[in-house]
Amino acid sequence: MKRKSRAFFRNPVAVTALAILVVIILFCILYPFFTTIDYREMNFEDRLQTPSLKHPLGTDNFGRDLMIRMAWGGRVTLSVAFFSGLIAAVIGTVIGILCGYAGGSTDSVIMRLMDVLSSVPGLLLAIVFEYMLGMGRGNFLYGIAIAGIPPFAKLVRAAVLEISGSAYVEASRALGASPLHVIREHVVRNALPLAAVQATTAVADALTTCTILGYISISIKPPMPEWGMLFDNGKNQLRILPHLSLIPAAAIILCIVCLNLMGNGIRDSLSIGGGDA
Amino acid sequence: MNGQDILLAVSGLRLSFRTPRGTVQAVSDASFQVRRGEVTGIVGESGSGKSVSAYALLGLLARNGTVEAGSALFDGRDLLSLGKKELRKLRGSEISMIFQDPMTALDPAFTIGSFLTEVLRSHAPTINRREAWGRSVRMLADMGIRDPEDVMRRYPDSLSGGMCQRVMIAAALLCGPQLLIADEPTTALDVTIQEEILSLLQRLKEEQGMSILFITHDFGVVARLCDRVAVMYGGFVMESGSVEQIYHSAAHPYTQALLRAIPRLEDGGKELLSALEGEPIDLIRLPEGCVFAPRCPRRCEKCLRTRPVTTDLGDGHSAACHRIREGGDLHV
Repeated sequence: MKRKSRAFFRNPVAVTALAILVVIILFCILYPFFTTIDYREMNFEDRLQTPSLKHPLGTDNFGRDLMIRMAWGGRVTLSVAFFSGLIAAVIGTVIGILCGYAGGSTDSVIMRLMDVLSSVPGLLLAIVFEYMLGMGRGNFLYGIAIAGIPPFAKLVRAAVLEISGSAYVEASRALGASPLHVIREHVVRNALPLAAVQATTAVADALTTCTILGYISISIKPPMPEWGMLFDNGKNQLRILPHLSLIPAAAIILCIVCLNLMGNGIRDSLSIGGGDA
Repeated sequence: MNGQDILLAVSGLRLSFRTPRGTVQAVSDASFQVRRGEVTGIVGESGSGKSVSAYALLGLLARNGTVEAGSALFDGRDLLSLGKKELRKLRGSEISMIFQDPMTALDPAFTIGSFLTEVLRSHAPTINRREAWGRSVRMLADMGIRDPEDVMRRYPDSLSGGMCQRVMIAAALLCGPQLLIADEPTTALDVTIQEEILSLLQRLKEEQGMSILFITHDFGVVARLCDRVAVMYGGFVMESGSVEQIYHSAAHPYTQALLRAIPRLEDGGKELLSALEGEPIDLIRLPEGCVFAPRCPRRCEKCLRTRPVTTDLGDGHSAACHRIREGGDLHV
């Protein structure tokens, strides 16, 4: 485990990706504390301004400061992405371990349910949850989370099957290990790194879905911003002030690319020593 | 030999696996014994049922496998009728097992130290970490590992196959078991390393009076290490006896054929090795008669119709063959 994290931190690409993500997250969390400008504050005299000292990223068509709106939008977008990824990871991993261990009809039934679930687009599921549980309060998060479960469940189940059939589990059982010990120590410890790789993909997917929802205005309630919404808002001024839409778009793309690079970094570090994955 | 000396007595073991193709009768009738302080070898080709017999003793059969009959008396208890929990307690503490491929038998996510101390602590929960560490280090040193403290901090992938097998043997012996089951422990190793592991097992037997059930397909290894041998084919024990009896007066045509297939230096390499004709039997459709009859050079009508019974040849030597009953010439 230690060696693997060491291998990850020796990978310059993965570390850079992680650093960029950390910087973006810190900016979103901290920037609102360092400025007196409110993200809701409209100022029609300052409409559609180019970047200046007062408004580092300019202002939108209502005269709202884009910098602070990017920070708040990031808070929304990134936390939706992170928490839906986390929920999917936890539930998916538990289902995967359960299925891999139980086998038989339990396994078949749950896995077919997963197949059904994965045939429903995440976007659709998110919209359904938003309508069912009430609009504008971020309920689409649950839809995104549930759509993220099947890949985790399948991946972890496959890993559990492979690990529980491995020679070291057999040897461990032959030396008197209890089933609980086998799951806790061997199965979880060997399957978790794989789940971590999948988690980066799941968070990136959730981020995409979240911003698409923002773009088609099925998202958090305005004036609370969201990156997809900001992009949508700015696209009307694409000809005159392209930065209004390009900056949110760049932030979205940057985050997704960094997440994927981090995933690759974790995957690569897994193959060092250990030999699993 | 009185009953006190017998540590493990397996008799009439019968087990099968359910598969999509049908029921595989992996073991039909296996009886063998391990005496205290001795090494019993089970020899047989792939699919002869030698490994699954050992797995069954420890309750480690795959889910589709069931023991149908037989008993395995170990120290006064029948292993085959013990509950899951009792068996688990017994595994590792009273009977331990080592495996064919030591490189994959160690979890890559753990250091040798955490693996060994965990084995110890799972059987003796009261032992503290430092004590467990100390005992593990001493055990590694006993297994002939030169720098045990260093090895304790390493991961399995930085160790050689021979080292891994030593670690596995250390783990197996950590809780002081009475019986060690070795399932082809040298098959995956280089010949020179093989020899080192065999000497280690030999030393365990001589110095600590360890009883070992040694499963192998290699007759050379049997001669090197074992006191007694059981020869298996198609899920039956064909012949069993002391190493001398098997090597010098093999009674069963299968044993004789196996022995003829071993190269011997004194022949000067001039004589051709004789290979056994035919294919191993299909365990889903066992023949009515002797399972070896289709390949047997000395088969007769009777062999194809009825199963032979095990005949006692005296001095613990026994074989299951019709031709012996007839009192005919045993040697071809």
